[in-house]
Amino acid sequence: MALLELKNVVASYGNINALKGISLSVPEGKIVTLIGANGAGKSTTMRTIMGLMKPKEGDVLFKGKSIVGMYPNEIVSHGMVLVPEGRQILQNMTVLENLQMGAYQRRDKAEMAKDMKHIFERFPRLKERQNQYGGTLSGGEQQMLAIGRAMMARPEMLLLDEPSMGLAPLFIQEIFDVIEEINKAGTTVFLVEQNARKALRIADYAYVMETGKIVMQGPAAEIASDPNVMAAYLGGRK
Amino acid sequence: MEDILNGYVLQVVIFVCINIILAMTIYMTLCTGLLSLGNAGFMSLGAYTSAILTVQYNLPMPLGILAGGVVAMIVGLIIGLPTTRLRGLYLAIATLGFGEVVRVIALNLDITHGALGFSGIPSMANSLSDLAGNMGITDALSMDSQTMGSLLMCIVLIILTAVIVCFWNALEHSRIGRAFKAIKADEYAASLSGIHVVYYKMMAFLFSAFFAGVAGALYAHATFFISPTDFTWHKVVDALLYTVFGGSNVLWGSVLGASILTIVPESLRALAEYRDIIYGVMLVVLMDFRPDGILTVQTVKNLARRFHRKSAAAEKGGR
Repeated sequence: MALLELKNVVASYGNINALKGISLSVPEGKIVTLIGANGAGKSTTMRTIMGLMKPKEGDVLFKGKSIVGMYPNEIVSHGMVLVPEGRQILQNMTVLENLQMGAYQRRDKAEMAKDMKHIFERFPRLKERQNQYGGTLSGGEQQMLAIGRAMMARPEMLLLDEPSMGLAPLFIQEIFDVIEEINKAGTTVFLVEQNARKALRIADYAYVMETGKIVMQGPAAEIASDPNVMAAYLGGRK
Repeated sequence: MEDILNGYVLQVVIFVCINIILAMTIYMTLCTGLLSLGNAGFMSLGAYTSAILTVQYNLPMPLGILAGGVVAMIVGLIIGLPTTRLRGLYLAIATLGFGEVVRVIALNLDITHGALGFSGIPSMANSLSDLAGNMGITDALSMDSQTMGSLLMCIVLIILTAVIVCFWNALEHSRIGRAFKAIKADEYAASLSGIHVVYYKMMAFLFSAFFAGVAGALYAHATFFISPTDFTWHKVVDALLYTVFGGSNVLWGSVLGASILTIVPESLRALAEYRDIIYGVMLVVLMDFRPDGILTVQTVKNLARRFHRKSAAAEKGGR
């Protein structure tokens, strides 16, 4: 069963249609990736799913129910969390406070402490710097903090918007390892990436997006071996 | 003792307290990153509400003051629903406009006595001194009833200000305070953490409106006379200066800023017309050297650390 489903979603910034009828589905327990070049509408897709933008047409279904028109915080409380593009962490708050913010809607203190411990075990660097301001961390550490914060909400579904953007290769590998681990632990992942090669390696299923439309889809391995894909995701000819 | 307790000094202390409350109302909305400048309007609502209720309906003063706050908060709810969705300067201008609307309405209504102003508002100092007189405290301390009244009003206001400071300090360190802080830091990231941004912004806005109304009511009972010109946008600019001067990122900044900027002009009274120049120079110099105001998050942290170290050392020395 599809945990998340987009049905013919159209979204626009003023007169410009950024999404021209997107349909996709993310089955439970899988990693699905959406790849494409800059300006293809990947981030807009994420924003529309999370309720940061309202679709002009179409429907977004989460666990079979429409979530169109909900506030982002309501969507979070239904179990879907976004790690936004560009590591939107809280710069003026400490690492610890950032993680606590992630668990804002939770009341189960004991379980929260357990999750916190787990995150610190996975990212020892964050533990060392737990009292430092988020803004003083390096790019890779900030991305880990952003993912850690999302995990503190214990989501059923995790959306990641370009988690590898602007990171050193070593960190990129680490981030993708973490995403795989999170998925193995039972969280469904929807991943938006420009780094198609890496994304296709860990994903089960992939969609390729170009100028507001899905131009190709299929099992990740198939997409990866398609000669047209590289051209498509570079935004060139079909 | 007699010198310190003269009516003039006590009057200054009373205004320091009222200004601290007013400065805090600016700070409260700033806590969520909202720059709201409607506080003069809310203050005006509180002042007129309490004045009308106590004069025309003989309501006891504490209830009048409370009602002033509540009315300001209810109007805040109506104003806040559309405006708290605005950001930055747009909100500032919309709320500034609201303040002017309130002023013009007060200028044209019969019940507020229009431009003539509302006089004969019961004085808090007088009623407190009556209370003390009846209890025999005034005679026991061999004080004249006027000084006694001012002194008691000072005490009441200092306690009230302290209570509001403590209340907001506790709020800032609670779950709600964390949400405020996150929204101020990054609204987008906060909403993605599951925080209902509009709800918390509205909460800060309503608290601000309520306390501005209370400050207005206290002002009315401190001066016995209010007119629409008491609540122009000048008042908001003053309040904003208190907060920014003292440090707009910490609660104590509002307290310090309001105290300094109320006391300094008073102490410069002898310099007559030069006093505004000095006031202006002070602001320019401070903004040049400490653009975040006197107190910043870091200074407060450092002071707290030093204080803890000192008290720890004192404890060691004592043993």
